[in-house]
Amino acid sequence: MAISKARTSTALAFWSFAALALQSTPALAQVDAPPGDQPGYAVIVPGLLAGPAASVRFESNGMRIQQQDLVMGRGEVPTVRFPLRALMELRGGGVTTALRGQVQNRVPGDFWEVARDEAIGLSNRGDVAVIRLLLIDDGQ
Amino acid sequence: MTRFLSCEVLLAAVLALTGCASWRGYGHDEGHTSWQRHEFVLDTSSASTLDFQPPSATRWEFVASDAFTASPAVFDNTVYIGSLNGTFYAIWASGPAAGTIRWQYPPVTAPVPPDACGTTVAPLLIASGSGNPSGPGIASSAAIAEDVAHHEWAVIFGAPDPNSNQGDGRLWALDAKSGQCIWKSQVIAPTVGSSKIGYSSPTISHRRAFVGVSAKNPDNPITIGRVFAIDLATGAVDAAFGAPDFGVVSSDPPAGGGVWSSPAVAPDGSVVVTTGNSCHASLPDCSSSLPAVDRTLSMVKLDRHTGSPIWQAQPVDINWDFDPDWAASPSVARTSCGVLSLAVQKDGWLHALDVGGMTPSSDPACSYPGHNLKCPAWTFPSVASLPFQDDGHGDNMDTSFHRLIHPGALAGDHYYVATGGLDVAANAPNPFTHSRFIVTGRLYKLDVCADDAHRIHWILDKSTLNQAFGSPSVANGVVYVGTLSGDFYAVDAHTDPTHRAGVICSYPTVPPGPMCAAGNFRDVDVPNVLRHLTLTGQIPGIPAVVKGQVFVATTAGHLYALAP
Repeated sequence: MAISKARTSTALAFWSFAALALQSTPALAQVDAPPGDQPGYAVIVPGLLAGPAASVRFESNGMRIQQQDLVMGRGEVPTVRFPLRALMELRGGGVTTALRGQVQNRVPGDFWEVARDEAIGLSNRGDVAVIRLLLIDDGQ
Repeated sequence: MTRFLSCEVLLAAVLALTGCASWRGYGHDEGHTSWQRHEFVLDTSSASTLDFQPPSATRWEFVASDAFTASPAVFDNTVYIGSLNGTFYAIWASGPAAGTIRWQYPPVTAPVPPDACGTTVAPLLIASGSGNPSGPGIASSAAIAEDVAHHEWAVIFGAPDPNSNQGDGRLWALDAKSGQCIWKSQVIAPTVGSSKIGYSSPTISHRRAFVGVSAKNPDNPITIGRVFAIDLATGAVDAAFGAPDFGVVSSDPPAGGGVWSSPAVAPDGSVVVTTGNSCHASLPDCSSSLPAVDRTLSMVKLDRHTGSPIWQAQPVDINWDFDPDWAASPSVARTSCGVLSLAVQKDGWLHALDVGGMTPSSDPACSYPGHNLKCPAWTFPSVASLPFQDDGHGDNMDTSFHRLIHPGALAGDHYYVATGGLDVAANAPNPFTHSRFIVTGRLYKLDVCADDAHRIHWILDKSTLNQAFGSPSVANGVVYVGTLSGDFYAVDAHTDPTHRAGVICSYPTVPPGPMCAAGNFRDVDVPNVLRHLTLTGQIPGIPAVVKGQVFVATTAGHLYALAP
């Protein structure tokens, strides 16, 4: 039952990000929530919310980078996959990542890379953690 | 029931007659709980009609020529408060002369010869270079002390002495009825040492006044913070207390740990203080040569006889000190889970320490090389480990440079405080540019003895209105708090469905309901606002609640008496 739920979550995450990644974004456009506005979150998987995305496209080679903040309360996200290559930075809080068979405690300022469609598990040991996510679409 | 009510009425009458219903210093009592236990007029019903107009024997407005950054003390039908204009005021609280000056110091007419303090009419000001709004005049809130050098009641506060090196800092003791000088202490904040008594207010306990000293001009040059114990009988420094340094004492240059807050006295008589940043982030810079002994950015418990540290908590490693001063005064009191000391740090994190006994204690889990530190009983929001060793710990917490320097109010197991809350992680690592008012615009009711998952009882969120909260007080089920945009709120303190105004997600900007739950956050209550008034000036200080009146001071120099 737990496995089935995790698989469902993974699929949801994949298609959520796929939808985000496929959005057409003007070159070098940036999306910023004005002060006081509600940012508008999306549920990536239960336990993990994504804030609004901002993206840039490089005209020279078609590469696109999308940035957004992920927010999670106390708890565990067993598996999440990204439809693009991802660079993640822990901005606040303390999380444990499970990636490629390695479990690692992360502190604010730590970066790690996740390959396209690679599974990563996240566990938050405090009340809140904020992770910056960069999705890299290199056109391949 | 009838018998119970009769007893309550009788108790109220006795308390009123014996003067228990007063507000005798910063944060009401020596633990700085800001909790008025003896308020019987104002409640959730009558507080909804609070106002300062039309003028009456209990409603009034007094205007000084400069800001009030101190908080009012109230005793003997008199409001005591000093202004940044260098004048200390005693204002009639109620009655036919309500809102008028009972006396002021220095007096309007020069005493001949000068009084026992050597004062004529010169205001108590630092001549130049006094830095932030803790100068140039009186930012130290007054404390009322009994039996001082044969005076029945004295009012004691920190202020510059214009007749000593252009503003050396001293404690001053004045007769509470007449304003006559009783003594001024030895110089404890010499301007030549670039020191001053800033926001620190004297706390009276065991026949002494405990007060802190900080930098004259914040961070440049940074100076060693100190706490002094002043003998109430004479105004002399209690040498036995040792005037302990809270700064860097063993490096070159020795600097840091300013005491901007007011020392609190725990039920066991020990003294608890919070200290400011180190020379790591200030001038002269010592980041390349950090000290071996370091009590900066810390909460420290001191032996009340000797000043010796019993324990120290330092949630931010000195190597990651980007100026998150611990400037809020600790609130110390007995709760159902022991004696706790609570204070929010400028980076938004709130820490609760178990005050414990007199045996020195530390925990390797919260220590790092050269530092033997105590772990907080809990931190809000909860964290995986301490000390913080990342660069998300700075000074300003919103784009208007408001800071989390305000103490909370502690009533039993409930702590009312403006704290960073769950958003502080989102604002790391650069609070200078990433935060708006989310951090400073949320007032929390926290259960200090609950587990982390049930810590929050309610949140009053004014962040979307760009309002930043000051220091709350609580009395008879009502929380009183101002904002730095001049809003005054009386808020229903209760936590139950019949008293709430709605729900809000514990994580800022996430809507309540399924989205909140999906992030592993939870919906919490929004309290009822009983009264909202717009006053003139910022309201950083603590509203004093006494006998049906609420006294509120503002940085525009307005002192209000609010009454139903």
